Amino acid sequence: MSKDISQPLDLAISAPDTGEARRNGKRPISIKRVVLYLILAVLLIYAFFPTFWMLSTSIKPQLEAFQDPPTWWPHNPTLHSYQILFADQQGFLTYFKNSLIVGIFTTLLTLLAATPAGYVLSRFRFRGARALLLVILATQMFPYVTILISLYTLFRQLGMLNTYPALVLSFTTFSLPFSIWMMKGFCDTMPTDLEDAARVDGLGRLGVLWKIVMPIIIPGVIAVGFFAFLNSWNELLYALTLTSSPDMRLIPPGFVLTYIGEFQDRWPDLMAASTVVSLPIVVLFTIFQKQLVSGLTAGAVKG
Amino acid sequence: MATLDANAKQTGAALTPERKPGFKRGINGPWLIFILLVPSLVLLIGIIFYPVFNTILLSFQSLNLAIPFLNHWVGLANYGKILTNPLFDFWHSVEFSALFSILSTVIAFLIGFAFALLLNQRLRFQLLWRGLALVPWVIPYVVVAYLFFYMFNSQYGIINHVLTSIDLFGWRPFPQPLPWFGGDGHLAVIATIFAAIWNKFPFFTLMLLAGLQTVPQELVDAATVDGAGVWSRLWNVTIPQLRGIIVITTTLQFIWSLNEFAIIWAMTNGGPGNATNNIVINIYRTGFLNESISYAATIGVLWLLILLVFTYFYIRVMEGNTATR
Repeated sequence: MSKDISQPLDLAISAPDTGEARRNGKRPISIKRVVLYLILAVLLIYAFFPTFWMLSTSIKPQLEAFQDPPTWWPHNPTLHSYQILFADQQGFLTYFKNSLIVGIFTTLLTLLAATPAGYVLSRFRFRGARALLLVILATQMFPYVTILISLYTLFRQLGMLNTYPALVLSFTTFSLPFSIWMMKGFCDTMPTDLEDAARVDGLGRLGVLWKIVMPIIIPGVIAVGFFAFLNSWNELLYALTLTSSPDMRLIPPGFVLTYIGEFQDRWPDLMAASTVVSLPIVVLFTIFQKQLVSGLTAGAVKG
Repeated sequence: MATLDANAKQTGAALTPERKPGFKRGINGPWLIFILLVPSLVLLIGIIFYPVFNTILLSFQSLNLAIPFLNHWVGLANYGKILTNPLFDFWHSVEFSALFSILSTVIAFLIGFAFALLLNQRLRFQLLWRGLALVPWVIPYVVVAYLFFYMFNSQYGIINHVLTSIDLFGWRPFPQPLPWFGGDGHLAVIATIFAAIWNKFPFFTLMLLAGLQTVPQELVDAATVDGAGVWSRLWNVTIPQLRGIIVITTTLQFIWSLNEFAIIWAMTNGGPGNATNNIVINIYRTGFLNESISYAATIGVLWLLILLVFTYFYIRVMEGNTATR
C-alpha cells in the first residue's frame, strides 16, 4: 500500500514488456507511443498553463498585464511586484503571518484530537464505537456553513471575534471529522503484531502507544497534518466572517478585500502575491509527498 | 481517505473489525480509551454538535444582527418564507450547487483518471510530468479564483484572446470576445466550473495513480494473453480493480464541492445577479451581508436535511451494491 509511486512500476493497462527491447536500447517508436505523448502534452499544457500564466504575469510591468493581445512572456520582466509585496504596503506580511499562526495551531489541535481518536476507533472494541463512527461519518456531510452561523453568534457574544483562538477552533470543525476517519483508515492497514508482541514482552499500555505505535503511524500523522494545514491555508468563508480587523486578516480574505477592492485590478501585484502564498504548500507537498500519498491512500487502495 | 472506504463499501464489516490486539484485559482499558477519545469528543460536541443544534434553534427565531433585541420565536414562519418566496433564491441555489458539484466532479474525475493512466506508463521524465500535473491541487483556492478571473477577463484575458483567434479555414466560432462575467450569467457558470475542475483533477490523479499501482500485474497479463485490447483491459480489469477508490474519491469530492465557497465567491460574488449563487454563498449573503441570521439558519437547516436524505439513500445504494456483489 505504501509503494513509492515515484518509481515507474509495472503498467496496469499496457501490454507486459519483455524488457528485452528496453535492455538493448532499441525500443521501437510506435504510433501508439507518439499518440501517448501527444495526449500527455495536451494534458500537461492544460495542467500547467494557468500556473505559468501566474508566474509570467507576476513579472510584468503593470501596463503590460492589460495589453490586448496579451504577451506570453513579458518584454521587460521586472521584480517590482515582489518588491512592493515585501515592503508590505498592503498588509501582505501581516496576512501571511496570521495564516501561518492559525494554520500551525489548527494543524496541531487537529492532530492532538484526531490521532488518538483514529487509533482507538481502529484498535479497540467498546460499546458505542459503531455509533461514534457513524456519527463522525455523518458529520463529514454537514455543510459547515450551517455550523458557522452559530459559531459566529457564539464568538460574538463571547467577544472572541478577531482572535486567533476563535479562528483555530472554528477551522478545526471542518478538519476534524475527516482527519479522524483518515487516521482510523490508516491504523486499520497497520499490522497489530508489533503491538501484541510488545504487550507480551511486558511493555505498558502507554509504552506501547509511545514506543511502538507512534513511529509507525507517522505517515498517517503527516497526511492528516498536511490536510489540516491545506484546509486552513485555503479557508475563506470562516476567515472572512470571523475577522473584521485588518490586523487579524488571513491571506484568503486579505486577497478578496485588498486586491479586488482598493487596489483594483493590479494584476502583476496580485499574481506575485499569489505565487508567494502558493509556495509554502508546494514546498510542504514536495517534502512530504511520499508520506502523504501513503497516508491518504492507506485504506482506500488496499482492496 | 481510507476513511470512507470501508463504510462506503461494506458498512457492517468495517465498523466491527475482527482484528483485536491483546488489550482486552486490564483495568485501565476503558479509561485509556476514554482519555484518548476525550479531545475529539470535546471538540465534536463543542464546535460541531452544539453549534448545529443552536443553528436549528435560530431557525425558529427572528434574529437579525442589526436589531438583535427584537429577537423572538416565530415557529415555522421562516421555513414557509424560504421555501415559497423566490426572493430567497433557495431552490435555484440548491440547483446550482448540484449542477456545479456534479459537473466539476465528473469532469475533474475524467481528466484526473486520464492523467493517472498516462502517468502510469513508462515515460521519460516521469517524475517531472507528475509534479507538473499535481501543481494545481496545491494552489490556494483564492489564487485559483483570481487567476481564472484574470484569464477569463473579457477585454484582455488570455482565454478570449485564444478563442477569438481560432480561425479554421475562414470559420471563426468566436468572432467577438465573450462577456464571461456579464450577460445572463451562463458563461459565469461555465467559468467557475472550469476553474474548479482545474483545481480538483490532481486529487483524482494522485489517488488513482496510487490505486493503479496496486492492480495485480498478473491480471493484466492474463487479459492480454486472452487477447484483450487496451480498452477492454481498462474496462474489464483496471476499472473493476479500482472500483473502491473511484467511489470514495468521487463521493468525497462531490461533498466538498457542495461546500464550495472560495472559488465561486472570489470569482463572481455569486453573480451576475444570482447566476452563481450556490447554497453556501446564499447563506453567507443572507446571514452575514444582510445580517438576517435566522433566515440564514433556516436555509442551512434545510440544506442539512437535503444532504442527510441524500446521504441516507447513498449509503442504502452502496450497501445494496455490496450485497449483490
